[in-house]
Amino acid sequence: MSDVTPESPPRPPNEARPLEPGHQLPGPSETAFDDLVRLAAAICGAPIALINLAGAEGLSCAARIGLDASETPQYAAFSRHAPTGNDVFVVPDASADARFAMNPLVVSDPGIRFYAGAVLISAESEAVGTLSVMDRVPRELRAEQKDALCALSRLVVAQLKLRQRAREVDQTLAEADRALRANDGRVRAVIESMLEGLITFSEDSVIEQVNPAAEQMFGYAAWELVGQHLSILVPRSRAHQAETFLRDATKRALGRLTEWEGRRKNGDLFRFELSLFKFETLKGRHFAGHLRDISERKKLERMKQEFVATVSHEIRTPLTSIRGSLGLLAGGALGDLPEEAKAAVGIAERNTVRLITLVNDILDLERLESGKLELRLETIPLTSVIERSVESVRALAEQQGIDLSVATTNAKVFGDGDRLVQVLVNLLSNAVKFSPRGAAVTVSVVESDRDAEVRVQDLGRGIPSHHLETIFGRFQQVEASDSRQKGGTGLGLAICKAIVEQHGGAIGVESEWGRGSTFWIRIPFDPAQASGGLRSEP
Amino acid sequence: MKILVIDDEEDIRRITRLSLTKVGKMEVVDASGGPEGVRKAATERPDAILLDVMMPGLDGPATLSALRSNPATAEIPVVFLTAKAMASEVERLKGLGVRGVLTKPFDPMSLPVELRACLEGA
Repeated sequence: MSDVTPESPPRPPNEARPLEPGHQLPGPSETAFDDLVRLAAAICGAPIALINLAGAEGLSCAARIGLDASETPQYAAFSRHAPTGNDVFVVPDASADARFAMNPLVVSDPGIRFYAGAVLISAESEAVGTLSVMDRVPRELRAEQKDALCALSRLVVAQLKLRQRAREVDQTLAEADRALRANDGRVRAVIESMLEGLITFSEDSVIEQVNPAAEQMFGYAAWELVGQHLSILVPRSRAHQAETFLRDATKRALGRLTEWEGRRKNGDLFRFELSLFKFETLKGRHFAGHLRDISERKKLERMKQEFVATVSHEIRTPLTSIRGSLGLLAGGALGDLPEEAKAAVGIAERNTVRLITLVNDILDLERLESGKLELRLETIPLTSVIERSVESVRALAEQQGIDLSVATTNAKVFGDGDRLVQVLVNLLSNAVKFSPRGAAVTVSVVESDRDAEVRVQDLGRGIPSHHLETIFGRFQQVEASDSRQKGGTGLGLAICKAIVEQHGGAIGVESEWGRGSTFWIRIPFDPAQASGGLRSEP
Repeated sequence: MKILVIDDEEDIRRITRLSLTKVGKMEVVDASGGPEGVRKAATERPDAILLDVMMPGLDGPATLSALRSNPATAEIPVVFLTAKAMASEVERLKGLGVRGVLTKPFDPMSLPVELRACLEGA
């Protein structure tokens, strides 16, 4: 009876297949199986009960009561003869049964006589083990005891299924955890290598995360900041009203680039750019701020401004003397000059004035482009801007025999009157200068629902198409000789463009070589009136 | 009309003097800095003062407050003459309580007219 030797424990009936490796080995202390064998023993009134599970290594005991671990493999021998199906296999007296009479467990200690086993059938109808009870005296099982043993065997299978589920869940969780860790690592690497500072904080302004760039910016280690209130990074003068300040900050900087003053650990104040975004987690709403230290940039800007101011002063002082001397000579204040001397002095004076205009234009452009030129925006009648501009160029137009044709308009724009006049004078004097003698320069106005377009049309030589793109750049004149022959510094249109764009408007030109040009500017209406309709008058 | 010109640049003092005397037919005394200007304002009793802004030591605004703090000179009208052309700077200077702000470089043929306009316009 080789099939009953302990060395080669037979498989349970119905070609029981092993479960997944590492799947079928619950520890001896696993209470659910222990409880089930205790129940089986109690219900059947038997001193011995055990659960055997099929595995890669054959049968193994998952739980037992009434015998030692060393004996358990041999009990599997009984299971082999169990029939398939849900029935309970019973051997009332093994010593009287030819299949078992010679079994060591029957012949010698513990002297088994009675055996009853229920096959564990998985949901996939596979036999995965047995639940058995044994006794040392011959006996039978009542029908309800058999039923109970079957029910218990189903509970064992259910328990196995639960364990498998739990293991699968564990595995999925472990995979998700690995993926999360990998992702977390990537995010961390990005955050830590960012050149920009990153600080995240809770809705009540408690700092939650600080990256190395932000550590360096403020001079704190991350652990010194995490858990602290944001006011630690705000100038002390503001710290006492930190709540209001921070509420404003979150409102102002959300999704926008804004400029703030920060306080380093050593107390130094510095300027930084901040843009905030909001995000939600299970723990509530949070904010993240991107920060960039701009103190170096500010220092450079200040140096540049000081330089420009100094250069401006240093150039203007000698120019004042030159222009003054030439002016007095040319004006005859110091007595009459010979004709040729007068002509030479006139040339010197005109060019000095041109040089002064150039210096002024460069400074204007510098201020416009650095945003230092503040506009005084108000609602103004466009027609007054046009009239003032036309007045300024009337003398020049008459001198050139140019007829100025000007449309009237009731439009009111939102702008700085003096600056808009500066723009229109520039466009008008260009139009006059480049018009043939006796031609007309026309000013017209086209209104849209959001802005007014002023068009200055001349019948001059026009602009070649390849110049249309660059004409608003610095020192861009259609012909190199223009600045000498027509005057101007080559900066006029660049200044116009900067002024118009600072108004939130636009500038452009339509032209064809040989067929005149039309320069236009669009100036927006008062945004308050445009959006809110007419305001009631008091 | 007697004008006190306070400017640290000698050339500009001379041009200003020529312009005001030859073109404007005014009488001119000058000073090469704030302290000298304050002294001369008290002794010369000019009708108006044309005051440079950027000067070493006592600059234009400081000279102005020195003039204002002395009862003998407090009432003399002052016009700034500045090489600072920024509109915001001109506005700041106007806010100091002067009759006007003229900018350099100036046209010497029209400087006297502009100066008179400042003094009369106030």
